[in-house]
Amino acid sequence: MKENKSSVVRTVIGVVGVIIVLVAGVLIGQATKQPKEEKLAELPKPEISEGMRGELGIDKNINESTIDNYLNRSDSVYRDVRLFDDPGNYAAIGGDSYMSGIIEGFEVVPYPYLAPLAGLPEAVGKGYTGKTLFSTDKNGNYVANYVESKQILEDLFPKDKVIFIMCGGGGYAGMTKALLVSQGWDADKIYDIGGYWYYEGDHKVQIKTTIDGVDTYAFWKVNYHSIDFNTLHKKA
Amino acid sequence: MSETAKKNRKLIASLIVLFTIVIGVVVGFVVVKVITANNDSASEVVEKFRLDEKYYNSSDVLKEISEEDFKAKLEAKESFALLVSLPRCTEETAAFKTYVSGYENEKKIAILYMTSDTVRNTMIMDTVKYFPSVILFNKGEIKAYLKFDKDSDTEYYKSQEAFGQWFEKYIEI
Repeated sequence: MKENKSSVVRTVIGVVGVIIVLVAGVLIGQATKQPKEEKLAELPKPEISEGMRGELGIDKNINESTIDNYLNRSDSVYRDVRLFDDPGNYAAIGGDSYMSGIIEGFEVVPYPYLAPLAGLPEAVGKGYTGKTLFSTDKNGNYVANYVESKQILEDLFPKDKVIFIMCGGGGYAGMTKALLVSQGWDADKIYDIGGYWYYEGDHKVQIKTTIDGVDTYAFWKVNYHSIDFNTLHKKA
Repeated sequence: MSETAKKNRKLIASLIVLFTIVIGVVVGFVVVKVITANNDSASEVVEKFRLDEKYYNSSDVLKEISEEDFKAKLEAKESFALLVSLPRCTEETAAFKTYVSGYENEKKIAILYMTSDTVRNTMIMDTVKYFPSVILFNKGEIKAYLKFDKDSDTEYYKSQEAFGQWFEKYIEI
């Protein structure tokens, strides 16, 4: 009888032990599991839209209507190239000088800080006329103003990433792409996705708001890349 | 003739018939495509219309109207021209507004103006997707509009003269 009891106890201990080992094994396995390799959908090659949208360089396939399908990709960066507050008097032509909203995941790198704006209508005035990383020579070629100009571009628009660019209507984004391509970026990896005004997707970040009856711009919500020209070194 | 030879003849005949059918289908398809393409690009039969008289001999230049004003004009079945612009863009699109206002000054025709934000909740958005655009209303209904996303309309955005050519396709001056 005693012997039977001992063997039962030993069996139970053995079974419990096996169960503990199994559970521990599963838990350790879960903890050390390699993340599944992200399967990224292939992107369509950049293709220009028809009409004046095409003149701005806006992409036919990846634009304001479809960008939600391409957000949060690990192989991409997302850049909004508007100024928070555009000094151009856009109110004179019915616009809003302030950035009123942005798509989640986009980070701001103002195009006017990258290269000069040209030929704005008289009513708008001169727009931003301050320092820029690049100038244009008489042949329209971009020339670096600072020793750090190219490096800044490379850091903000990584060459090894797909780059999605937007602005208010698609124009600044097109200019940004032209600048990057002139500096050696692969045109097939850059998409001008058009203008925020047309975006009706699910990832709006509202910047213009009203607090206590006062119009407020919540720029604190936005990831903004500032360029402090005072710390850069002018090229000889 | 041997059985094999007869069979081969039948096979060849069948292949010829099949080939002829395939060629016929392809040719027919191409012909239909060409005809419909020609019909699309054939000169549009456009019935010009006249704006309401108050818009002629006017010194107004891109007079801005509110959403309420706009809705009232539709209810009153007015005939008018409307520029809707999406500014804060490149010089090409912002310059278009100056071409329209220049044309207004030249012809003394009033073209009304609304911002893209103001039209967002109006019936315009059911038809016009991209701005800037000039939209022509005949008795309260959209008769024609400049298409910012169509190759066929690109030239009309490029100069005052070209814009005038488009405008006068539809409007009696």
